[in-house]
Amino acid sequence: MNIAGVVVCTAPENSERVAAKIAELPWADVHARDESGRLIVTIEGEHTGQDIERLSIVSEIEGVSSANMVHYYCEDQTPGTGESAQEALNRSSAEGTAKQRIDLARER
Amino acid sequence: MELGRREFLKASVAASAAATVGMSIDASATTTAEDAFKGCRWDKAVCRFCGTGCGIQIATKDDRVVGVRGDEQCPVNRGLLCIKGYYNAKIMYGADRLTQPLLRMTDGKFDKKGRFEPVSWERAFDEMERHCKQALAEKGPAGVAIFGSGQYTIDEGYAAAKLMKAGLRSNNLDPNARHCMASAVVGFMQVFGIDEPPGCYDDIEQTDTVALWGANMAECHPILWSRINNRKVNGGKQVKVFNLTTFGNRSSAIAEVEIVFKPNTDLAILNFIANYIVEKNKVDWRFVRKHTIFAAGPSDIGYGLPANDPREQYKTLSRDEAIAQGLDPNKVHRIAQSNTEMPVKHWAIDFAEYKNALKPYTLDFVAALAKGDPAEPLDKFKAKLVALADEYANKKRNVLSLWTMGFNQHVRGSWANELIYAVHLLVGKMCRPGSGAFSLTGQPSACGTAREVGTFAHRLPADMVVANPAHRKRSEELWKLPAGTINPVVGTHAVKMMRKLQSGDIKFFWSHVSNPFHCFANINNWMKAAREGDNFIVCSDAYPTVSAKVADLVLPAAMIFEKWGAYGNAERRTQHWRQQVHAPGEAKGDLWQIVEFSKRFKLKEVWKEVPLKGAPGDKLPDVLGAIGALAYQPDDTLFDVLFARVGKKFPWSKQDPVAAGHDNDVAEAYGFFLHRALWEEYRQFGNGHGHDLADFDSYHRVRGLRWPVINGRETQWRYLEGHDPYVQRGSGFNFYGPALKEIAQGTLAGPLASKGTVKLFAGKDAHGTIVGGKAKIFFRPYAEPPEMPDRDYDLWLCTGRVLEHWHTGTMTRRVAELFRSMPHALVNMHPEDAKKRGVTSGDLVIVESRRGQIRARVETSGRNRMPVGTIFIPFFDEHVLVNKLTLDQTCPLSKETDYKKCAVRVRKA
Repeated sequence: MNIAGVVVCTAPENSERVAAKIAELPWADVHARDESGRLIVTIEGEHTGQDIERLSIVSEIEGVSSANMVHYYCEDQTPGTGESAQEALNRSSAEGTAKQRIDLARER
Repeated sequence: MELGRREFLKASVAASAAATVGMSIDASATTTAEDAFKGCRWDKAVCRFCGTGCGIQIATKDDRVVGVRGDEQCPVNRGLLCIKGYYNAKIMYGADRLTQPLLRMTDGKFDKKGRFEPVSWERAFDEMERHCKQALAEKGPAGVAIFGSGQYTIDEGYAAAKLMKAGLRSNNLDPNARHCMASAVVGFMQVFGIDEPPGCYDDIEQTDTVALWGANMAECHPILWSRINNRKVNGGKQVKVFNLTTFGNRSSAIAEVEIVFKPNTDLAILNFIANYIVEKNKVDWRFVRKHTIFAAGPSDIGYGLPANDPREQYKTLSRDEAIAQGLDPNKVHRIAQSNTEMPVKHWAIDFAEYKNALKPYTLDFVAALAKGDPAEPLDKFKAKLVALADEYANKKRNVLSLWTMGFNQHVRGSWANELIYAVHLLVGKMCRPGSGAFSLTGQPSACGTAREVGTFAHRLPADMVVANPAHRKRSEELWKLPAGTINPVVGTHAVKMMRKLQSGDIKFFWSHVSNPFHCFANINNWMKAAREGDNFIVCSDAYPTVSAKVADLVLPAAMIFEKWGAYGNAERRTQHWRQQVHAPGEAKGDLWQIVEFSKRFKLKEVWKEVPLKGAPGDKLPDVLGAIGALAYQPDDTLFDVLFARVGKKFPWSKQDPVAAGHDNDVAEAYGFFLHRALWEEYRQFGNGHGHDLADFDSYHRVRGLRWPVINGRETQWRYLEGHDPYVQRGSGFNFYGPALKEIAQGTLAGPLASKGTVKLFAGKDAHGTIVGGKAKIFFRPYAEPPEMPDRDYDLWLCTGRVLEHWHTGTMTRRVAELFRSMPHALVNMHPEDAKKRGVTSGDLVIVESRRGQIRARVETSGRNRMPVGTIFIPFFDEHVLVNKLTLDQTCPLSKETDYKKCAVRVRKA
């Protein structure tokens, strides 16, 4: 699971409306807002972790002038596969590492 | 995960984010923030990825990096980070990290056809020593090579340069930065006489117009892009962005004007702008007369292809090329390429010649030549070119031109760099806050290591070169070497290294922090040369890359926060960091690997007389007779002389204020603080010569310093009075770069002996610094690339990066989030081009060039909007090795590969 801390910049007159829009997103929370129009938002990546996609959804909300991650927390490790670097190098097919194949399979 | 913990983590991340940008949040949340990272150690560091050089803070706990945040005190990014930046924590923890040396073996013995088996470091170095010494005995210093990196830390690059140039007397050290920055370097050296940008990122907040010339900053430099974004928001309607590109990309989102041009015609557009400025009388004559001269060079320089390629011998000019060179377009011009060996030579011309050379670059000619989207009306394209030229010509507007690989990876990349300076110099919009041509960097230390340390085949530290006797002498003095030790013959540049592997002239090849058999153009050839040739390939890396698979010996490397280091970014900012955690298993940093290898060579083996083609008498002299005077013994090793001698002056202690309790695996191995020792030696090369650096300890107290650093003060704008201490009072500007400051004079056709030479400076001060130095305004004609779409191969192919991945994906493809968001390289294509070939988005296609073929899926509606006739395939994916298609063409001046254009065809798989 990933949690990204994001600073969203808006014009002050838009910030309330933008904050309400963001709050509607099931994976985003608005934690703070200041008079210059900045919002502090967290975005949760579920186990599939689509941080980038979600950040761009936020940045495309009307009235948002920029949305940048400033803080990131990762708890999980990259999944292990059991295949070592040595095994990967010796696989004659050179069809990439097992980890990548596993990731692909998971995606399908 | 239980809900309570999730809410708690969210609150703490929010609190930290707020603190980062100086917002207040309620006290209870702040308390939880402290709790979430309880027991963590935070320390400053720098991002591992692009050349922007963002400051980061990383949290470690139990010898593991667990958190990352943007460093609010770092002026580069002011607390912000891009998506890749956040994964600095994760890149080190891929499941298939290399943790032990692996050697190809059969029955316990090295066998080039064998399988990889784990060996000890001792055994690994034994094999390297044997093969390296065999290559040296057979071929001399020209038979061994190290392929380095713009991702080397400064100390690693410096140690590699010292081992090769001072120790093994081989100049065959060249970095992957050759593929990234070499054209920019040639531009700087030819125009200013000294490398690297005069300006800095602070230009962004003071500019009126931003012009991107082949830089998709929205994807490749997101933090600088966010600074440009903010400038637009704060500067209101007056701030304009122009995006010049060969296909529509994400950077156009905030641009007022997107100019899609045909590959290589950027040269013509630049000449159109220069012509427009001259014709409209917009030249800043006060500036131009006092601080510049006009210059030209040969155009019959080939394309950096192998010498036996017919295109290196003759070129029949196209109609457009004839016009662009002021020749009769109705005649046939078959031009012998007679300056392939000396393409960098140039000479001064007068303004009348310059003006005349620009004459063919009218709006009609250039617009018809350059328009890159067949669907765009010509009039609309013309209006855009005029709007762009007006921005440069308008005296009231600051203009900032930015570029990366669009200019640099270009068969005329050095020319493109020279021409953008020409435009800025003509209107005096150079080296002034908010105005200038600014070369962005792709790698985190292409500037700091590859360029400043000089890990190139022709360079020594601080812009010195091996071919210059005075530079060799100074380096020998600083390195405490006998006179005559340093090899005077320019070594083998990167592309040539591969060609020499193929021809059997290089037999020992060691790559560091790079993935050459993935990222070079035309890789089918080089993979075969490595696997089947009589040679020994060593690959130091953290993961099993394509290059590791091709190697004979794989050495497990420590990664960024597992070692002490320093990087230098695109704005001359040097930033140091401490080791945060230990490397896994037996992985070791490249510095340790280089220094350990130096123990395997005795002076009497490498400093005797050795054969070397091109040196006086085709040999390097025996210098052992002079070692007594330096108190060396013939049985001393290169380790004793190059590393231990300086290292011992700096004892290591974890209690040292700079160490601050951090570990240092290298220092602990040797008992001395090698990083500090090498830094203090290295900075002597540049101090007093325009490259001044501060002492090691200072960098651990600040968020980087931009050189020249004099009396503890950094320099934002070089060559500008009041900012750069090397500029004398009352002079306004001083282009004091010392290289190529006395040149021949002539006409466009060539130098004239009768005209003699001209000096580009008034004199020198007591310290030898140039006074009244001038920059050069070059004329360079439009030229076509050597391979263009035709009947057989009917599409342009362009390669490059994507936001999610770094270069060849070695690290970022191991971060699950980044992998999933961009798992594979796709073929970006216009829907009409797809339809013509009977394919739609998602279909598997075969892409072929004259050199190879690959299979990948088509994407017609992605973030890149391709014009009809051009496709884009990124190079990060080891399953879609786009470099099987690319042509090993280079800019003949810089030897940098052009990855941005070759001809391919596409059919349904």
